[in-house]
Amino acid sequence: MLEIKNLSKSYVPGKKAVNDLSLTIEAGEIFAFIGHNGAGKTTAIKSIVGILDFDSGQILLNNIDVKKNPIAFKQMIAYIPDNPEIYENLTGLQFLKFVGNIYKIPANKQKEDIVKYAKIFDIYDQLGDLISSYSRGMKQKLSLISAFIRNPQLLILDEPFVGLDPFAASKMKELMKEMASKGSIIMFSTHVLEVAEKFCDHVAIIKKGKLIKYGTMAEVKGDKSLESIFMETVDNE
Amino acid sequence: MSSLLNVIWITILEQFKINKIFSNKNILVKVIVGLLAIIIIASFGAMIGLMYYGVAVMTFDYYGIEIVVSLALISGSMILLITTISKANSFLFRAKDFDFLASTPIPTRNIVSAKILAFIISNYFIFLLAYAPMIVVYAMFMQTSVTFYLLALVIFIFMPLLLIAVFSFLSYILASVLSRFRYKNLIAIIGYSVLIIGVLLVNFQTSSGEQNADVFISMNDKLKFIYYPAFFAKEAILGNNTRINILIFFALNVIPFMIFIFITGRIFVKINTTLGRNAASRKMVESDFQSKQTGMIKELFIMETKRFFSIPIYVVNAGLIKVMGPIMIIMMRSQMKDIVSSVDQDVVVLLMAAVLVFTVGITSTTSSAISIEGKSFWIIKSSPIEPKQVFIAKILLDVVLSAIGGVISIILLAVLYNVDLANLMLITLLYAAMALQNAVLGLVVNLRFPKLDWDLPVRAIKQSASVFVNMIIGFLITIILVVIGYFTIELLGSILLVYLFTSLTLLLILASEVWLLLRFGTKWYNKIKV
Repeated sequence: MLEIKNLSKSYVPGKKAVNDLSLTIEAGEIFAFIGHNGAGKTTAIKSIVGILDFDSGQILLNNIDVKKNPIAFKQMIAYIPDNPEIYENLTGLQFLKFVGNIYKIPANKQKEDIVKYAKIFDIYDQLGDLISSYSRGMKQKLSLISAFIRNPQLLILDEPFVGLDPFAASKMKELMKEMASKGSIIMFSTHVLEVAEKFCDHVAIIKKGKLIKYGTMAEVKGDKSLESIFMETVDNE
Repeated sequence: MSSLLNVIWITILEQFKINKIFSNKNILVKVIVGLLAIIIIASFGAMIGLMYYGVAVMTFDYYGIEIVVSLALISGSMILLITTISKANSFLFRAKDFDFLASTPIPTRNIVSAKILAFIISNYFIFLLAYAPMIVVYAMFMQTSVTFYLLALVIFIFMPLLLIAVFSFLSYILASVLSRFRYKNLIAIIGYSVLIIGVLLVNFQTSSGEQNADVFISMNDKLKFIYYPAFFAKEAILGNNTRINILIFFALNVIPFMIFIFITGRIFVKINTTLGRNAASRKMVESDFQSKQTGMIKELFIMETKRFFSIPIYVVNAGLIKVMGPIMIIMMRSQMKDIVSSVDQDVVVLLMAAVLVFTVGITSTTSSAISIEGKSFWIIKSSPIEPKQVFIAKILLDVVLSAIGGVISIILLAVLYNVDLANLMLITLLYAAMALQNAVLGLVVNLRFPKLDWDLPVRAIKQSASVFVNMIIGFLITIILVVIGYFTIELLGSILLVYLFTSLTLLLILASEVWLLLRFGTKWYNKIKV
């Protein structure tokens, strides 16, 4: 279970990028985090994964605090940023093996999963090439593979659909569903509301750092579309 | 492999592009570039070695090899200091892989250790230039043993640690303070400029009125005050109380370094968050939206200028020296006041003109003007802009910077040295020819060797093939000018003709560069992969 309690973060004094955000996401949930540009989604996500030093609040994954025990916390997660900066001068395989090693995945399992996911995402033949030669979509696929081989309890992605071809996006959703069915939490931010509506069982709408709506997809949208709810919420607040 | 070794391995692979170096692509080009790099580095090393040798010859009878050892340690420390200040933040605290590494279960102290290790390795290469020639000169003058070489190796390994610890921390504090200011780039540019001009002034002050050997002897006497740990390193190398001195040297470097790693490891995320902060934004006002429609080249030039001043390291490396002419003239006047009366005024002015041409020809903004576009190059490439308009805007920035330094310098020459009109006009012609030639050369070379895939601007500005090739060609042009100048004086005995012939040579070179740019520039530009 991921618990976010009263999370606040300011970059500039007096201006909160995230303001008293509280959320609880249960194991197995697929959770969409939506909001307009600059709403505070990335700040919240970066705080959750422990790469941003937030001002106040608490973030717990399975009762492990990201601030008090960051290593144990991070051992359970995989994070893919919106524009994954991967080591350009490494080959795809070197990068994946590096991730496998730091997550202490046994060599056999590493090999098995790397081959499996690389074939699923259709970049197996390019794993020996330098990452600098990859397209944006290929880099995104490589990042996803690096996340899937970790088998994380929390998979957190910032705009994961950007740059992916429809085939890869479909495969990604399939794999995320499979992970969620095994008890992992999948949390991602997106601007593609149709995808969020069809794919996620829970949703949160954030505006100017504050949580505006939060609940199951059915609770939040009722009999309307997520897009109309989002537009109403953003216009009204 | 432990997570520490893993991060170290990956950081080194990434940082030093090991995969690219050992790939089978473009082997011939790699061999040629490698050989050229070795020749140039060896030449630098040989020049430094010759200087040490000269100092040793002058001082050996009274001081033994002590002065050379001090000189090498001081020069090495200075080089380490400058590289640490200029690179530490981007290398250690604002690395692009921070988001990825910090989100993994690698302890932050391991990330910090790996980053610092890669930083130290890159510093060793530079430190070696000042240090290795000293070992050679030492071996030429003294009996050496295995112990000496071991000691020299230990000192080489540990020498950068204290400097890196202290100045990385200071550099973080400075960047952290600057991040609160809206005009942080301007403050950084002024700070760097003051530092560089200050170092130049101190250098001129200390050497005025003294012979070089005296300066080196005086530096040796003050070694403890100049750089405290270097004193113990010197004593250890010279065999004075070796064990105690090497222990003190070791402790002075290692203990602060361990403290630095410990503290940085604990606050690494905080440091990165602090440095990523921006100053309070200003509310837009109506006038911000008003803008006149300007011509394409003017628009591009404004953009070029804004980008130039938004990257302090670009200004310091590619622009500052261009406006240093007036400062050099004033400094040299005070330096040479004792000899001015005994030397022909025309020779002094020739020397000043040579310095001016050097300042305008040593760097150019254009040699990295394409590279600095980086991953945003698609913006201009996909816009309805003629490549030639882009070229003009880029050349214009370099020329304007040169012109600022040039105009003030020429006025100073006229006022301080009463240079007559004919000389003044020819010096202006020479200066202008060099400025234009250098600007066009930089662009031509950068179009051939663009480097858009950089992570830090410093890699485009200082560490690209374009800058390297530009430097070599600039070096060759300087040799040609010196040879022409020498033979003109030897054969014709006229300084006016030196100005004229060197200017004409530069204009010829400029014409060929312009031809290259017009003939192939657009083709090269279009071929650049975005």
